[in-house]
Amino acid sequence: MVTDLLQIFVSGITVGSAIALVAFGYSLVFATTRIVNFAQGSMLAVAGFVTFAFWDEGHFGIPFLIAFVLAVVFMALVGVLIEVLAIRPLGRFDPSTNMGWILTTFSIGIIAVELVRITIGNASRGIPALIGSVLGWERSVVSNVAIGASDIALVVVAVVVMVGFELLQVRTMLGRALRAVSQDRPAAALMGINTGLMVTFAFALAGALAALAAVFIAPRFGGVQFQGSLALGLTAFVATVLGGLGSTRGAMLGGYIIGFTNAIVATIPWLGARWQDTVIFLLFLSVLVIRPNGIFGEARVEKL
Amino acid sequence: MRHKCRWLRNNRFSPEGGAVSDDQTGATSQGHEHEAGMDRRGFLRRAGLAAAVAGVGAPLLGACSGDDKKETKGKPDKKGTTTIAGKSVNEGTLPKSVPDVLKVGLMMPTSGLGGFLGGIAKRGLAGALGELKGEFMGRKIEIIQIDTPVEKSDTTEKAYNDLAGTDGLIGIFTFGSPGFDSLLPLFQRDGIPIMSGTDLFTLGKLHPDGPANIFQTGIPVTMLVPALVEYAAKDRGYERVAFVHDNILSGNKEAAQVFDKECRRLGIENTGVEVYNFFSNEFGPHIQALRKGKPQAVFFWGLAEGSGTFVKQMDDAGAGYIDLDAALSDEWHPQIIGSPAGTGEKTWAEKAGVSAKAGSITAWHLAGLTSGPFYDLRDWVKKASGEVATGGEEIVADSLWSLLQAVAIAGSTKPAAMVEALQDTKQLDAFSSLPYGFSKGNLRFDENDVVLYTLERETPVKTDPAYVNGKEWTEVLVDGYAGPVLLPRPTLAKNRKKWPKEIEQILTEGWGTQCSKIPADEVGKSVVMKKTCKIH
Repeated sequence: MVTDLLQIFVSGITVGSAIALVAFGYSLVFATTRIVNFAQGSMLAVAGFVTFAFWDEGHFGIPFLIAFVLAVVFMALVGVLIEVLAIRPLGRFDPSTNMGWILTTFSIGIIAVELVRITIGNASRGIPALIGSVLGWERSVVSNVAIGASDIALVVVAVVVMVGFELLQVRTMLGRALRAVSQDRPAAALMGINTGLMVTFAFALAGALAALAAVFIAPRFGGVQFQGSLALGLTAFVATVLGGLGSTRGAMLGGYIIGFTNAIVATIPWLGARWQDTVIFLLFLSVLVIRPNGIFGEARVEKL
Repeated sequence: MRHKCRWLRNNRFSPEGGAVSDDQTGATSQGHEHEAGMDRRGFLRRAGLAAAVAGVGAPLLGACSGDDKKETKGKPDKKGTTTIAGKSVNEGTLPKSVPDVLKVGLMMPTSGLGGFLGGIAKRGLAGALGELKGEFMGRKIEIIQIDTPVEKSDTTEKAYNDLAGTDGLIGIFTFGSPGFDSLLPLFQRDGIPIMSGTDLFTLGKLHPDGPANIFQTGIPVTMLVPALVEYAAKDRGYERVAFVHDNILSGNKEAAQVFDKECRRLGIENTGVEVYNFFSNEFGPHIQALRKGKPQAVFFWGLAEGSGTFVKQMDDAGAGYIDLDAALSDEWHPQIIGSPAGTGEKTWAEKAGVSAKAGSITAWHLAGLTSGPFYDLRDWVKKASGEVATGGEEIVADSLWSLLQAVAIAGSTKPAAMVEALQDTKQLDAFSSLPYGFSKGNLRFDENDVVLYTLERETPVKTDPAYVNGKEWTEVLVDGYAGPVLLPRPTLAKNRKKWPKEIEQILTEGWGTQCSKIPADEVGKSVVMKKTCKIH
């Protein structure tokens, strides 16, 4: 019993953190643009393989830490590219009535993934843990449950990113500018905010975040892979909606709800992992029936 | 053996290559199109998927084999043409009624989750068409390939209808097309010869009750799983075993049923079947559930990615495999027995690193020994495409060869005549590996074809007494290789029944991990292999 509970805790918090890290990307872009960037899951996959390519001796062979930094920068540029190619051509549109962004972000995500498949490869790849040990400690087994430094690093990074975004949005001019663009773009522009730049910045940040997520998730998920990343991207979108689109805290909570639910369902003998998706989506529907905007989501009131 | 391979390598000829149409768009590419990618370290990398996914497999004993194989294997003549039993594969004539172009349909995933199957097919076709120079007995070969992603089950019916309506089509090769099983009545109605390279979607639905025009060129899971359970029960002496499979791949549930049936037959306890979410990569709860039953071996029936992650998390939880003594002890260190698509692939070991333990086992077929002495296709593929055969290519090449042989034997491209011709073949000449036939219920293989593979690294595990790595480590595999290689001991008796000369060659030349021998480097047909190393 103790083992099961501990396993649920470890699995729930690590998988939940992984989901949350990806969910932050959705939340960040939505909070700024009222757009859901459906390429975010693809960016996670691309980021993982780009990091691998920078580090792998068969490609660039760069030391892993530098490869990671380069991947963050590269993915920020990919984020910018997505905004330029998928969003900007739509012009000054109202995302609540013009749904073209659904198709454009989705499409560019597919294109990015296919480009990586062609240039880097299709098979899953192993990459080292960025933080594989702390003062020589790598892993312990407590009551038959493994707890590793890379798992703790994943959780810590998720918490730090969430707190960082909260502070960014509340305490900095940049954050206020991002929120202003989200709430009323024309008014923000009248106030002197470069709204286009803010939107581009949000996409760049989401791209960089995808690289961060890919690297810290990889040790837990056994490397980088396409299907797993795309599936995680979908799960993270569900978590984002569950927690409330645009809310960083909501994304985190949504991630943990899914992570812990999956662990509990997999542990219950008469359910098992085959019921995970069914239970998650039942929960998802139930929450949305009660709170249509998600747990931390707020209804947007349009004043006429 | 080496010098023969060298002849192949040095005798460069540009395969004419049959035209390959993709997706029936009309765009054609040559069968020998090069693709950057794998090196020899990719050995057996994809072999598994194909197999777990189904019963894949067929062999080519060939050009690089021993001296006494000259009359049974494909060998290049002075013109660089493969010969079988002294005759060119293209020797002979077909009746005038046979069309100038022999069209072969291929439906398989070439994109998405199962896209690697398309890669295997591409390499297998490149090798085969290269040897055939794109022709068969004066007729041009044309390949029409249609992508049927495993994620889109509705694509198979459309692909089949498109192919079935093609003039001059002599048959279809299918390799993991989703929904294949639901179309069986359609196949039966049309009667077109169909080569099935995998039983991923047809486990238990073909031989002996399925359509008579479907021929299984892959090795069925119903042969692989029993061999592995028998190894666990009889060779290792395990009394408790468990099964783990994913929730996506069709056929894995049926594999679990075969597993349970075999456990009951052999009187060992199935401590449980765990189903994991294909995309989750989180095995913690499953490992805890398995631990409660203390199975001495865990059958992990999934792909390489899942297999690698699973053993990594097992190792992290202090449950990694050590050896037989540890597996039988009260502590929990179960031996990992996997699917050809999982532990049969090299990538699982790359992914898991040191957590992928030597002695992890899977099953395959003798004719598919990519790094063994019979695999002519290894050189053909390299020559034609520049790539390395990773396993499963023989299924593609021999499926094509089977259809061509059916035309030759029947003297016609009429489906009924071709099917009848194939059903009567007790032994088709070897093309890319070992000879085969379909007279036993449309099946290419039987239980005597099954062999086991074990994971090995360049440096064997230190044991007392020691065991040594086989000849492939000096003849075929590159430095630093870690992956599956032949483990001849457990299936030796059955293999000998059907392939006495081939087994003799394996033993006398020292292929595969031959377990503990005294002295350790002894080779020969009378060699006695013992399991006292306790690793495998």
